[in-house]
Amino acid sequence: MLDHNEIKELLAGYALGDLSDDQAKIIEEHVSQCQSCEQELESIRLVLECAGQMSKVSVDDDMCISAKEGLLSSLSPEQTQTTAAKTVRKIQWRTIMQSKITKFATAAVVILGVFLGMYVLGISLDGSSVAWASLADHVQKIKTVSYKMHMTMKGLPGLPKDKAMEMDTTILISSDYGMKMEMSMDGKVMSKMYMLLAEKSMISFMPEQKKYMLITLTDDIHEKMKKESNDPRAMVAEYMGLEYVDLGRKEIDGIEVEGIEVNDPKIGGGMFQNCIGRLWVEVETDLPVRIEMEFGSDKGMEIKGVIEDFNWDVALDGSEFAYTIPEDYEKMGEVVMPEMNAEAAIEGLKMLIDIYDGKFPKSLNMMELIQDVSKYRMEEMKQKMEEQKKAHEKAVEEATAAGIDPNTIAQVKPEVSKELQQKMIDDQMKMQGVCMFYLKLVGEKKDPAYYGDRITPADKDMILMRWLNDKDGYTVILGDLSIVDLTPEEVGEMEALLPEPPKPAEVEAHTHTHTDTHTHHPEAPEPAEVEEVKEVEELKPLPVVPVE
Amino acid sequence: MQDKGFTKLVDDHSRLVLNAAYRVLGSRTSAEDVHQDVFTAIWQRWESFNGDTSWPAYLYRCAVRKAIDHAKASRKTRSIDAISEPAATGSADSAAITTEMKDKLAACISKLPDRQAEVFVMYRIEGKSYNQIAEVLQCKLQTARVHMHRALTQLAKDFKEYL
Repeated sequence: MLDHNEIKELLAGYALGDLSDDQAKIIEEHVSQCQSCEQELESIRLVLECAGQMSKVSVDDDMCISAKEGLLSSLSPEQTQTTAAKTVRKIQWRTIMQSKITKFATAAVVILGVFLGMYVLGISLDGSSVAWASLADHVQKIKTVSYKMHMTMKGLPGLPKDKAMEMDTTILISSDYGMKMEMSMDGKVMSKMYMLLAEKSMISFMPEQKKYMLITLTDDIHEKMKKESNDPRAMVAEYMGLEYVDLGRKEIDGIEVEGIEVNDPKIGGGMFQNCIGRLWVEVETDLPVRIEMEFGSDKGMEIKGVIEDFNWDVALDGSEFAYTIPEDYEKMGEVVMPEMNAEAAIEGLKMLIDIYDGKFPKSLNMMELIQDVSKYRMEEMKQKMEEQKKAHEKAVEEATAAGIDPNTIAQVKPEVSKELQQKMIDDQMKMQGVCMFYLKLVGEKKDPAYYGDRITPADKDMILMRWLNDKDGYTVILGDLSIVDLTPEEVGEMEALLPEPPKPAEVEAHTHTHTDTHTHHPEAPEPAEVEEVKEVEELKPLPVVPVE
Repeated sequence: MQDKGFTKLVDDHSRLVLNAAYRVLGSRTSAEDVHQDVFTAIWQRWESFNGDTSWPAYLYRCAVRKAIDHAKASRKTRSIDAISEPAATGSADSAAITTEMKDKLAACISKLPDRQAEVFVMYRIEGKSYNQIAEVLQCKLQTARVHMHRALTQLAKDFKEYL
């Protein structure tokens, strides 16, 4: 007897007449009693009808002649691949840029990329952190910008659930020098950060603690930063794939603005499930006036931000980006940004196995992993501090028993060791190594998939993660964290061997939901019967496999 | 353009390429762009083709793929930039199926995994059989069928709003 979900999987086959009479009868009986399946079937039929209508058109002779003539006159025997490719790019570029509102959408996502890169990730995934100079054609000449941002954050690791954190930030960006930003809370400057193009590192000062932290960038990220600040087309083309809603016109501080709203998890850098961004642009100049952001994760983290007070083309002589490390400041830790490659991913996975009790994390959602890694290490720190406290109490007891005045025992202030602090930083970086590599693969449309919810490290020969490589096949990380290259067919076969994904109820019961990872077969397995094929792609829209 | 072989190829198969693209994209301009892209790509590698190429199958697949790519690239600007164009030959829309729904379907198809999108277009929009699709895509018949079922299931989810 087939259950509801199994019936649901067969509805498409039923509507197409691909099932046996017996199967069809079972479906009909079920549908007559199940409203949800009846609705699903109606929707399937509507799609088929709509596609049927699309099939009823064909081109006429005039169009054929015109297309042929246009084509043949545009090609010459000398035409090289390069020039042809340029022609194609030119056409795409023209199409992309023909809409004014399109430019706004581009600007919106670029700006959101800056926001996320700088404030949430600590770095940008794709170099968008210095892409202000690349908003669009009309803004290309602008070399500097300053702006202010107010953020309210809830559900951050280590914060009580309902406690909101307010933060004000002033940012100065120059396409010649780099970026400087100052973050304040309750009127106090908490951090000053410099990210300079001339240096391969970022430095962050914390005046309250009189500490600083050095963050070393990878060559990859540093080069990308430098290169993309001069090539706006790369950014625009990359971000063009987002839908938006036109919000119409209104006035902000006496300025006539036009707005759009983008509602897409992509603007959250792959870390938030719910992301809304609104961009308000001055009608006269096309320059952004206000950006509003609302990001939320399934785990209850919320970030709301407003960016405004823009000043374009601020005169700079470079002195704003000069800094010295005050003598009384202590170095808090050394952060080396992870590379975004398979080796870094494996390092990250090794560390995560420790944190997840010998298992793999269920998904590679960075926001969730940040929380879990922090929680784990903070527990460890708490435990160490507890031990210090107990040792002190014991010393006091012993002193009392020995007739010594307990007040002579030195007061010990429990504190976290530098080693533990560094360990926390290292773990976060390792975790970012695997998550950012995965996000990079998604961004590059390398058809990545991760199956940490299906296997454990004991499943040594099973597929844990895979992505398209440059050799028409897939690179695969196995359960024992070894790497192999396989053909799409081999990957399909291995994926067919994976256990079923946890059902929604089971997923709910776990700490980690399956949100940011994709699971689908690059090449469908060849089951004997259609009904044996299980849909494993329902969790979210599927990634696109690039056509060669 | 002097190469007679290439000119003949364009003469013989332009309609096939244009039809495939036009049915998916519903726009003459876009179909012509796809036509240009497909043949330009072939011209760039013209010297490397030997006499064994099965042109109708090859061009047909290229056209469907390029049309899907085109739909991906244009799905965001479609609603704002689309200019209503006169239909080519063909029947009028059914009362229930609106142009908006066709646009939506094209956008949804473009979001499917490539193989599913190709199979759906070939099967339902182009009216090919599973056998023919398996031949063009060089896969097993059952694989084509599975892709079709998956594609249809996903598209139906995206289409619930029209019920």
